Amino acid sequence: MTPLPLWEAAAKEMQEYQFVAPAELQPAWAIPAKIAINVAVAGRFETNSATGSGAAMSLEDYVDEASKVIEAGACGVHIDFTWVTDKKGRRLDRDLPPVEAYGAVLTPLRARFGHDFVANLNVLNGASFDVCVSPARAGLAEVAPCAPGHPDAFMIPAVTALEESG
Amino acid sequence: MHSTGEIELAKRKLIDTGILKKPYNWIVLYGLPFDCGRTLISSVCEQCARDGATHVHDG
Repeated sequence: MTPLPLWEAAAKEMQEYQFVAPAELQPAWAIPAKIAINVAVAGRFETNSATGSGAAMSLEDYVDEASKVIEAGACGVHIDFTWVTDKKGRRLDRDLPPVEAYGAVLTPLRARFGHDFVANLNVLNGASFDVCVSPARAGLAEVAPCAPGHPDAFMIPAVTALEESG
Repeated sequence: MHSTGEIELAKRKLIDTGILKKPYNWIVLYGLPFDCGRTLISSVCEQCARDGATHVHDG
């Protein structure tokens, strides 16, 4: 096996390996008639219908897609800007500090919708622990998930930081 | 949570220790491959998602 740089390996994984199957292949199950929907808006699974290949989503398109789900009635959006690229060609998940990247997404959404939606952010962007939790500490996250299956040395301090940030 | 095993992890490491405060909010990640110690697709079937949702509701 030829070792790959991290981002090249991640790109390869995303191109070849996504969801196991579309949701419609799974049997439907009974859910309450009234539910609150929080939509995870993600650019990383966007596929060019003409070529079948993955394509980077622009920041403007991402904000448009997030706007659509809010307009459609979602109570919140989970912001996952992996692969999203701004006009300068910078990847939001790699080339910008996460506070700045989340701001680039949330500022136009707040201008349009105010606080009529819940901002749900990740703690998974950043090279260091403090950078990962910096958006929550900056007050940008009203909700932030963290899977308990992540390593304790990250997960427990992360949840502690989220609780401290309210 | 990516698999039902993470419910126990959350209880043991976050709830019982008092780190996580009520109200608890769960997100059932449905159909998303994750390394949960078995295979990447061990927990992505519809039954697993239902089991997980039932478990956190009843718990």
